[in-house]
Amino acid sequence: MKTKINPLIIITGLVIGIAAVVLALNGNPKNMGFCIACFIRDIAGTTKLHSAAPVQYFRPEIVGIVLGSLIAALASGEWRAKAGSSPALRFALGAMVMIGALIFLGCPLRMVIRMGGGDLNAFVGLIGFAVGILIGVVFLKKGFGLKRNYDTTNLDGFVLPIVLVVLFVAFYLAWPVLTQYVADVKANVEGAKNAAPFAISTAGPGSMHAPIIIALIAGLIVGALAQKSRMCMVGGIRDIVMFKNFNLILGFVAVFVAVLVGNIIFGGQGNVVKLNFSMQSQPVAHSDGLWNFLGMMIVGWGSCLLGGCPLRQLILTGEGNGDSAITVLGMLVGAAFAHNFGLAGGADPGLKEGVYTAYSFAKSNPNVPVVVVCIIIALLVISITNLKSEEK
Amino acid sequence: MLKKELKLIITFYTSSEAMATERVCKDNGIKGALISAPRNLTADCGISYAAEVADKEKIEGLLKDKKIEYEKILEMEV
Repeated sequence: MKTKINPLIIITGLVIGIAAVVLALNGNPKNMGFCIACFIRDIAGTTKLHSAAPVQYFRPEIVGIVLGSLIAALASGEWRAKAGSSPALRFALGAMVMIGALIFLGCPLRMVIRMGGGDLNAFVGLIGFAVGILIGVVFLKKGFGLKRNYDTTNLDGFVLPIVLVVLFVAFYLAWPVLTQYVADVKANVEGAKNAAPFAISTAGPGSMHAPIIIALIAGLIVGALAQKSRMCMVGGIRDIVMFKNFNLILGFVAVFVAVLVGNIIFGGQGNVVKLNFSMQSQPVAHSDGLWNFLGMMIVGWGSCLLGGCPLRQLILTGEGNGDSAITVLGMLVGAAFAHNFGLAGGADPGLKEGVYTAYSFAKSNPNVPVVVVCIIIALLVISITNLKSEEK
Repeated sequence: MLKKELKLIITFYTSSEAMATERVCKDNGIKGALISAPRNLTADCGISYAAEVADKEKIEGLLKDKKIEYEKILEMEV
């Protein structure tokens, strides 16, 4: 069957790429205009699920994406509350995907955004991501499947969107207190204290953000478009391998092109990167090929078993899918675990006195090899034990 | 623009049911293929099976015999 191209997928990819550049132009971290994993990690930080000071902020983009999807799905009659598909396994898979993403330092979307900035480490990540998806496809072809879902109460489908909105409103109400605290810390005011219930970064990626309203609107637009087009970074590669269908991958390519062009035009302004094809000196990235590869392999494999990338899980959550909501909660807890147990990678320190220093997993994350092996074994066990019985 | 054809489309709750359908149809000489679910259909697993409309009854019978659960079976242009 030949591929029928849906122009909306290309438009969605271009809009996501443009939004990523606009957000970086307005303050989001470099090569991180959009990153589902990083932003969920920041939300885990601001809600004090972890205490990594540089990554604590309630990212409006996440709230916007879920609400954008919800509004688009409701408007077109596609919203349907359903749940019950192997929830505990989905929670665990969500956590594992997040840990893999934070070892690499980015979700599949940020991987493409990094590629558009010339970060060659992201190309290594792409190879790992593709290998992970291929492993997942092997099991899909052998009959892998999590159990089916069922219709549930409407409230079930609204739970996570409501929780996100309530927390976001609370964060917004605390915003004057938080900004005063950040200003006090930056001015070295003695005894500066954060009296708000949320944590906030005063330095590092969490302290870099576009104005709330711009971030929220960008999220809403991306959420609505991704709901309509079924944008999925995993689905793109999966569909090529399984059906020779190139529709979804065009969204992936469009994000890359839009970010590449945006970086060429706006490079150096705000936090938009100047195009630099290199493995070294890349923002919020490390140059350890092994962990870039394995981190994204876990993301690809786990997301393939889940049926969608982290962005897609947010979109499905907006569509009323309780299983994806559980997956997102798994990602939230996975992000907290990644920081609480020292699994998240860090950026290369870079040039110091003329010598380039790379980030060292051996020094900073001694538990990563054991945890990665455990996750790979867990993915294998989940893949094998969920093969349709007659095909085992 | 590719010309649209009228096809029999079957959607599933899980990808394993889609795979099983493809195998059963192949074993019984029915022409068809797994496809990414059309945008205007909501397939939970994102995968559907496309076959010739003329094979509808035969496929329905096979799915029933093999106890393969599907979500929808319909004729549409893809």
